[in-house]
Amino acid sequence: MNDNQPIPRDVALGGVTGLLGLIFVVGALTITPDPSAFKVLGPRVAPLTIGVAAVLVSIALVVRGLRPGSRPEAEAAPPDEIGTNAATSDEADDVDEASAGSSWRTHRRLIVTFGLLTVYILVFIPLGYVVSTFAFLLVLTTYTEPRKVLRNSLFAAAFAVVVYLVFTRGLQVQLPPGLLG
Amino acid sequence: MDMFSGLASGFALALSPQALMFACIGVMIGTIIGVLPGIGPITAIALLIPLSFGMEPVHGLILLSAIYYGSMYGGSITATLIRTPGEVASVVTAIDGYEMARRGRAGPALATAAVGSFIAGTAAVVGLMLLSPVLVKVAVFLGAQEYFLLMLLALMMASTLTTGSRLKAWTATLLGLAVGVIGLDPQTGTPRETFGILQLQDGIDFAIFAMALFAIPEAVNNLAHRGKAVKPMKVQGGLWMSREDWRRSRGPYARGSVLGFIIGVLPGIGPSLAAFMSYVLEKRISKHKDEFGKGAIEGVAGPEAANNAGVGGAMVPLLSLGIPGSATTALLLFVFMMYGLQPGPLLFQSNPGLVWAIIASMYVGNAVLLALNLPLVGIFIKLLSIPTPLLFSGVLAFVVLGAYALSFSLFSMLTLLVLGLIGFLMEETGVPLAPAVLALVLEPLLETNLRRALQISGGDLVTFVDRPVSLVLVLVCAGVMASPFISRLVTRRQRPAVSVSV
Repeated sequence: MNDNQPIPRDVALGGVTGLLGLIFVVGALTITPDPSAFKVLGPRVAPLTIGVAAVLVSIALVVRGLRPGSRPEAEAAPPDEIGTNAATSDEADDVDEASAGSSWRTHRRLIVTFGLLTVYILVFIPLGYVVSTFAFLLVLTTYTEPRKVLRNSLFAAAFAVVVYLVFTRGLQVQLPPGLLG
Repeated sequence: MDMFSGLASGFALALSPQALMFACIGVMIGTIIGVLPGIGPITAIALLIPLSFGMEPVHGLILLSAIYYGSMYGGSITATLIRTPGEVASVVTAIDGYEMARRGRAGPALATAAVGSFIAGTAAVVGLMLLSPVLVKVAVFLGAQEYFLLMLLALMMASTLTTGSRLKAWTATLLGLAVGVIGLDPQTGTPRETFGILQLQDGIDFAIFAMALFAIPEAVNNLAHRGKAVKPMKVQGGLWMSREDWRRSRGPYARGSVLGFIIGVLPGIGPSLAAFMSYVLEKRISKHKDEFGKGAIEGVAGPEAANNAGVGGAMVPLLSLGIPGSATTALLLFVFMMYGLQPGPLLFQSNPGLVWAIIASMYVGNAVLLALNLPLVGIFIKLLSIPTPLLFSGVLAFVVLGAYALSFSLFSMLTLLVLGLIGFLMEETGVPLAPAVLALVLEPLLETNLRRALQISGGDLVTFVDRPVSLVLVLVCAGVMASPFISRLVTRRQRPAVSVSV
């Protein structure tokens, strides 16, 4: 949305779409159709069509993104001005924290949050549901709000234990017991 | 009349204490989740699919449908009080609803939304009840060609008649289709796009896809921006509408209900566009045009009625043809299939009790919604004071649990993570998420029907144009594809009257 960004978002999006489309085309070409039976529409057709279409759309995205002075968002999208989910708060934030430093802080938080999520998923089974969930929630909430450690730990403990009991006892869905099992 | 006996037996089931309880719980949970900022109906249903695993199909479906319309209303509450619509359908409510709240008229705004939702919801269920059996009879004449074209039309409409950039909507659609292809080819059993990874042969689970796309980006964004505590508007003054409010809401209710239902039935559009079109319509015919954007009650009443009528309308093609018209109904279709049920003409014959119970429970749910929500609005608002870090880290923990519970494997959780990253990038670049979800559900159906049609005709494409119904559908598809270019020509001549700004 910002004009002063090094790479326009549409171009970046087009690049990623094009790359994924190419991977998909390659994947489609490696499919070996089963010659034994008569098939009107082999297994290759759908993935190939989708991959090629993705490449075409990506080219259109890049072209549109590079067009000088184009504001594609505004032209077709009145409701976007209000935005749906986080868009409103995002835009408010962008205004509030216009300085580059705070934008870097947001990026760092995004990376840390995704990192914590990855670690949580990796230890989910070995450590068990209760321990891993408690640790994940405690670390994540304390990272976002460091001053309220007590509240955060109470929340993490309550969430982990209550959800575990509801699922294993109430809904008969077994969760990994891990260290406590 | 078998419709009335069906409905009577449906009510008998829907009013049984257990079913009634699930309808109430669903509406409550739905509203609560809908009120939580940034979490809309799709996330609500996706998050709660694990809860319905062990339930009877009837109860599970009643619960999830109730969550659907509960969360629609919850979204209107946040749209009105903090100008944060939970999903696209309540975006327009955020305009005049919020302005009314700023002028101390939050009570009437919420009341007209609730009443409008109730009236339109009920009207739509009547429409659903009358129209579904007709469509079921028509469905006998539909072959694989027509099914394929109808689904293709749903995808095209979802990508073309979007409220945002069309190119980006197509990007989303292609992503959904691509993910849908991954796995074993349903007909030949050949692995496709699995890149040698064994676990990918089962395909990517729809619920994981929906959770990853809708819940993860929202949660991560809110945590990273450390969303400052939002201060909701105080609901001051009277909660109820004045006589003048009633008089001004009546017309929008009626027009919104009809418009919303019709748009809901059409494939691929869904309630969001219904709300938007209702807003435009009300603004155009209003005597107080200048009040729009400054707290016109019509701007809340019409769209709210339209989006709830749209929910009922969207159930028509789902129940009678088995074709989901929107992302949320796609999710419901997934739930049906999870229980081993295939919605469509056959379900009406093989399991009429279930279908009528769901329809009857929608009446019940609408009544519960009205009875619960107005008195409890104060409590729902309190939910907004849940600290963001707790709320969204809890959401993250819950989606991981959901992914695990779907297949009890590390792989499904990692899939969730990867798709979550993709969803995050989509949100960052303004790619709509809903078309991807619809496309994923439609991909196997599209391919199966296309193959069936071509096998019957021996590979001859003429089969799509030599039957009257399919010929009409082909023309409609072509029209939809051409519509952006046509409308561009038209708008170049005259500036659009449609401009919504905050």
